[in-house]
Amino acid sequence: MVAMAMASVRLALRRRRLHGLRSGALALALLAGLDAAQAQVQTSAQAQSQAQRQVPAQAFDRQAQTQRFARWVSDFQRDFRKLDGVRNPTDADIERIFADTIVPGSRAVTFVRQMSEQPEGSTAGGIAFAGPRRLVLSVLRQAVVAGDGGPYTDAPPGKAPQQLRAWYLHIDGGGMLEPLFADREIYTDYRLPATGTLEREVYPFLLFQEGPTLRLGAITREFWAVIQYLDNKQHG
Amino acid sequence: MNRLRCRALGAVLLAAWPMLGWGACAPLETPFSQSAAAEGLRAQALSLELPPNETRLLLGQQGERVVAGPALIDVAQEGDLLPRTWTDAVDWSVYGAADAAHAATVLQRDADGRLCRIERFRVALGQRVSDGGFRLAYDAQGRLIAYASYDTARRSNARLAQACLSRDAQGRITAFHGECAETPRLPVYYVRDAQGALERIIDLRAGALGAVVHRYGADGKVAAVYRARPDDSQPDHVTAHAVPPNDNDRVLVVAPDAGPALDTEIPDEPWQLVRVPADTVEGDALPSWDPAVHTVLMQGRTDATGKVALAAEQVPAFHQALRDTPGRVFLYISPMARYLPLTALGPDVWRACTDPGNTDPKACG
Repeated sequence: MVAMAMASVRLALRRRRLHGLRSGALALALLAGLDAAQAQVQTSAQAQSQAQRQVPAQAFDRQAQTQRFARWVSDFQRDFRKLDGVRNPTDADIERIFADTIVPGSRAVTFVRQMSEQPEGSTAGGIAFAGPRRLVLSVLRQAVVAGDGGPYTDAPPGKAPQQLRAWYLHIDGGGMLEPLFADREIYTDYRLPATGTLEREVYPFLLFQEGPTLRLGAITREFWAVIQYLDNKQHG
Repeated sequence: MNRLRCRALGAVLLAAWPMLGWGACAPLETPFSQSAAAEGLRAQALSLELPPNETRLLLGQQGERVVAGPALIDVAQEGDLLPRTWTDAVDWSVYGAADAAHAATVLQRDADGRLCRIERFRVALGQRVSDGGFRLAYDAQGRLIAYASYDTARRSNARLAQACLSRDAQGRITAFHGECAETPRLPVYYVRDAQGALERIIDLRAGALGAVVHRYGADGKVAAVYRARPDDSQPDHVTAHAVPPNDNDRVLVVAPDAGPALDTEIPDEPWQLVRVPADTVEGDALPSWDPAVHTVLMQGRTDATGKVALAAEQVPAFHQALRDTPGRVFLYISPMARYLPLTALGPDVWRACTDPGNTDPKACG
């Protein structure tokens, strides 16, 4: 009896996984810089020597930018709640609802649509699992802006290229994320690059468009790795 | 007007405290419920929560991840105690609260900018109430030497934890102790050479019977770890030995002037002391079990009571073999059972090794 019950729990868990983050398709379609815009990114060694030449002090105003970022997070969350009232939203619906928080025609639109298609949370075998949207928002809420990664031109497939700006984010995680940031296969060397320089695979960052309000242009694999890691954790 | 009065009060307190040798922060003994304004401190409100008994990872000045644990000063798992705490490393500016009246955490600094108190608040029944926090203490040169963490302000001076540091004339940390008594009880000593380089860390937090000594090489890395363990034959005595780099094998600690005291309980059983090549003991050391790689150094049979007994003339050669190739000499009592013999540190050597006043780099032998 017990064995049968265990097996059904396990089966339920496995079924959940199939349409969770683990499908992977969601992530891969969205991540900026997987194919495009690699050329403008400096090699790690170049940037490192540049970083050494520069003064380590942050010219970047972290305090002001963190306040702007925090405002954006709460607006982004508000827009998600608005989106809940729309059945089967189209990209146009999303661009209208998220007009203040994401860049129209950017990868962020696809990202929001796919997040809204996923369940907010689920339970299996009495265990509550947080869906990707809840994970993303919780990670964003515990993040602060650590630095400026400089301009970044993103070319979403089939759309016009967009001038965005990389913002490095420090994510607390309460100690849970340390193994991830120590994983040399994901973050080759966890450190904050010099102000205004973009380096891949060293620090989580998001791509924003500056303007009257801050708007998200794309998420990155450096950021998505955190969500994936937390999702894998809750599935044990 | 009010601010001027505050400043005047601050100035008076500033003038008084250096005489007590505590810098400008109030001594740890001061009740935590005393208001920070009465201590002449300036508040910096944070939106950040620092719950007691929880670890946060905060943004450092250089973008690094700063572990903000429940202890402000704590012994690092390995290596030197840095002369700064996580409170110095954090870039507090990003955590500033727009609304000071609802701040979950408030930093209180003295006129020189030294962090004197960290106050925690929680909301209970719609009211913001104090939830304890930290006090920090500095020496006359302004170097951090102690902290205490406090429970809620209801029990105004209930300390949850504290730690004190001793420093030498150059400000380098020489000891850490948790009780802050005149003579340190259960301390951790940091032994340094004349240039200040770390030589040994003597960890006595588990008492003399559980002492652990880390010896550091000139490259600043751990060269050897020594551990005391209670002596089976003599209670209240300890035998100390160098911990082997890997823990694949059962350890047999052997007194420096004696052979191994090993009782197999099987009379007339063959035993062998063998040496294995260096490349066989890496990782899980499985290749070292192959008899084909063994060089037999000594062999014999257990005596009538089943004990491995070395002849008196074999004892020096036995210890010489352990010294020559540490970690590569094994005592087999059957093809499937072996021990890693280790020469114990003599009582005099161990005393020198655990003496914080001994700065000889060869104190542990």
